[in-house]
Amino acid sequence: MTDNPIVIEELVKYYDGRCILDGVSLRVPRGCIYGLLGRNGSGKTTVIRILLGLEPPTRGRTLVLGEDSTRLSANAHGRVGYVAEGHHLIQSYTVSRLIGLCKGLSLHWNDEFFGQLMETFRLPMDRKVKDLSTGMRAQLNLALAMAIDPELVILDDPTLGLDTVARRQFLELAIDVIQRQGRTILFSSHILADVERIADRIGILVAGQLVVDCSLDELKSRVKKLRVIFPERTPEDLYLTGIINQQAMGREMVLTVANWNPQKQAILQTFGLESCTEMPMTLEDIFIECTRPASAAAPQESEV
Amino acid sequence: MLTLIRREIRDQLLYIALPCFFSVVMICIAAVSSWWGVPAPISLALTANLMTGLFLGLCCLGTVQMHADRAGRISVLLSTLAVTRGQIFLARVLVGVLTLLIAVIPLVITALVLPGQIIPRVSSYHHVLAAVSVTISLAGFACYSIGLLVGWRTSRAWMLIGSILLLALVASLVWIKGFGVDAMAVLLLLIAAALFRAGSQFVSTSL
Repeated sequence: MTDNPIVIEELVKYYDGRCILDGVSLRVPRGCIYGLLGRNGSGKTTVIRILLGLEPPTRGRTLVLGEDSTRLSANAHGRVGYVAEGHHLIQSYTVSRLIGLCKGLSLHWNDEFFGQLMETFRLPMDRKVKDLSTGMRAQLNLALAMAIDPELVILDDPTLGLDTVARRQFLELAIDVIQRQGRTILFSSHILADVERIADRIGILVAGQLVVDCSLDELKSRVKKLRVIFPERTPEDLYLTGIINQQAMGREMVLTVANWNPQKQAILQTFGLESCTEMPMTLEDIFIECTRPASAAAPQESEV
Repeated sequence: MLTLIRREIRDQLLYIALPCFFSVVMICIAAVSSWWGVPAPISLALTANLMTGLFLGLCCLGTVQMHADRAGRISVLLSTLAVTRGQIFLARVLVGVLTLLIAVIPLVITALVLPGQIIPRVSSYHHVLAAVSVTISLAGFACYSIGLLVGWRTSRAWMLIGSILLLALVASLVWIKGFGVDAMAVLLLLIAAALFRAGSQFVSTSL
């Protein structure tokens, strides 16, 4: 058993001469729920597809459960549950036939758990997959991925296209499934509230580069949004490393600062502040700040 | 592996039945000719035409197996289950071999039982029958392999042009070399090349 079910080293991917991934490196420790975030086209799905061996990398190396992704054995494939963006199921099959196929091609099949899931979802067994709604397809995909009792679960934007109710239902079930012991999850999503609910480590991809890779708590503690009121007007010579964003209006300034520490606080105090209050930040706020075009100051673990 | 083979058979039942249908028609013609005493040249001419149909059917099977997979993104799902892409490809080829055997073996038996109806009655008939059977089997398998090779292409025009050109190559080979060791050797090389190329494309490209 490897300590890091997912290892990505200096991953580079080019499509038609366009750089999609630019030296991405990360490790997902066993038992971790890793939320991979990024805007459209930032390379999240490409990372996942390379991990699963569906796409060859241009350079770099990826290991899944200790095996190179380009040469994954059937055994390693059988220990990974995958819910794809868009849910790539065989459209012409009926639900029961698809279940039969997946069962026949799995290493383990947890009949009891699968039965519970099917009872919850109430999917029509005799209907063709192409005739199912997006929500039903997502549920079927999740049930198939979980029935194999996977060591590693990869969820690529699984709630994409689901309505609010279906999304909530899907997530509640996913959380229940995820909380089973020893399971490692890589979860990519656009819906940050979902990730915030379940992830304990976050990675943010911006233009093919991993600009954030740390725990959710660490990320929240390192990025601060402050409302600062100066005695007269806002100074023009406020130089502080790690400023992600600043907006000034009269005596008031709203500052978003990465890698916040006592030294930075002391520098700020030299301006004789009238008040300095911390504004609460959700993951979504942090994400938006970090993915702004000029996000050079986004926090890296090495910068701590 | 058995699950993969079963899936291939069930999905491509129509295309598996096509070469077998031509084989059955040939057997029926041979039986009817023998029963009614139809002159051998007529039944042999019919058999030769139906044999072309059998080869085309095998080529279609290979093409459809690969094209349906790519168009329906079937291997995207399969390769995330406990199988490798190599196993998926192997299962596909085994189904091709099985279809070929189902189509050719009854023909060989018919040729043995009814000499002169499928293969002209010549001296050392059994020796000729063996050579013809092996060459035809290899030519059929070559057609199937060509189908696998061209079926992975996304462009239908290239698929059609590729199959026509490569099938013409197989036909010319058998025409020039005749039914013998030379033709068998060349066909074996062609099969190896087509399978290797189709297999490596399938295993290494993006799904």
